[in-house]
Amino acid sequence: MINYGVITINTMFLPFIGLIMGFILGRRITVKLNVWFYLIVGLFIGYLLGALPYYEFPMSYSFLLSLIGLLLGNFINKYLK
Amino acid sequence: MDLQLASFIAAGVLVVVGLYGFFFVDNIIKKVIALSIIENGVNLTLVSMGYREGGYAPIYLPTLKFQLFSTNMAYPLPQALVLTNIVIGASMLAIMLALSVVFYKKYKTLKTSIILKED
Amino acid sequence: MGVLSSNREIAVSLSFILFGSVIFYSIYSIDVVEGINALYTSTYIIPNYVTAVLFDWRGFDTLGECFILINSVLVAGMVFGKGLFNRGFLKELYRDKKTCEDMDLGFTPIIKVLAIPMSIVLMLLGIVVILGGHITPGGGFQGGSLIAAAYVLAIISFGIRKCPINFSHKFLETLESFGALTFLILGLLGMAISGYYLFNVGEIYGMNPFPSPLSIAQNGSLNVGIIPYLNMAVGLKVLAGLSTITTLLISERIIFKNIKD
Repeated sequence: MINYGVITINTMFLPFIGLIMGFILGRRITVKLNVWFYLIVGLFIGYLLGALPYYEFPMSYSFLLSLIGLLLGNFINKYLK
Repeated sequence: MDLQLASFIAAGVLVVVGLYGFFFVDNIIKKVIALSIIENGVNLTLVSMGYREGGYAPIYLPTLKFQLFSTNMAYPLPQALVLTNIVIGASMLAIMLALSVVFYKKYKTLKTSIILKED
Repeated sequence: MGVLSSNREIAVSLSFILFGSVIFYSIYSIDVVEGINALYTSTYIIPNYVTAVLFDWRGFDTLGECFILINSVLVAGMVFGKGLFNRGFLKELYRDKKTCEDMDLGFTPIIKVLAIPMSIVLMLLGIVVILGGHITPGGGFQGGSLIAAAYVLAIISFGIRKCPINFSHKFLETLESFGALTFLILGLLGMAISGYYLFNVGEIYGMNPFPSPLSIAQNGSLNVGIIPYLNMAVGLKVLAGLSTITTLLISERIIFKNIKD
């Protein structure tokens, strides 16, 4: 059983703002990024970084969601434009 | 040796070295670097004013007791002032570098003795 | 070396010795007392006390600091373009990147392969630092500087023409104006609710402005209030300002070519 931490509006609001900021920055990257490479490296770095204090998560969800937003913005910039 | 006193002396040495470079070195870029060194000395002075022996960093973590924390914390005010000072220093550095680019374009040199026409 | 020059050197060394000894004396005999700091250290607002001083006690000071950064960007742009010379090449610099000369400095493939993953990780770390500014060491200034450092890394290793991170002039201008205006309007929000400019609003009509875990609010304090929004505004502003200065300073060869003297 994997412990995902307490997921409510109170704890997931800050990572979702990170997703929006990552989306804004990812729209500006013009090269095609390798999605699986960045996801695996992002999981590793997020595990090493650890969650913010008072947020009882197993890893840094804000880092992961910013990465997902950046990849999403890059995908839209590259394929759906 | 007292850590705070050592920091103050190091800051004084930085300021004096920066002043020497600003007065006696003949290159504009090196003068800009000397001004940056003076700024670092001022920042070190401010940070070491808030030093407290055996104190906590000014961040309240959930494992600490608040009473013990608030009496043993390092002072947060000088650190906030240093944060302000670093940003202003970066802005001044950008302006000085831009102006030295214009100097080089106009005089084809960066030596102040040639720019001011001293023999 | 004439007589005038040696006279000036003697005067400079005298003033230098005087100034240095005064600085040494005042630094050595400095006396730190607790004083006003007791007020800051005994009141709990948010976990990071430096951010509390920066955005709650001295919010107006931080506003002035932001305008200093905007002012520096304006002066750098004025020195390189509109003030002294004609303004046509700035348009060429930002808009038609195909026609301008490539600023590639000729780095090896080691740097070119590693620069993009490095700068993307730096950007994400900058976002985390901006968002966690009220809990961990960090905040708007540090996070914005990190994102600008990622941009600097990309633009130095690839050159301005083939740079994969494409911050256009309009984008940076929008971010800068958005950051400054957000700061000002959030100050007006505090004025509407309590009557003080840049007041830290704990709740708006019973709603928490920034939902965060309940264990942050302790010792009778309100929740984090509007401080994370101020952090975000300052972060976007610092990112835009430093990136603009970098773009202007790194393309000075193009500017040199276009200046008519």
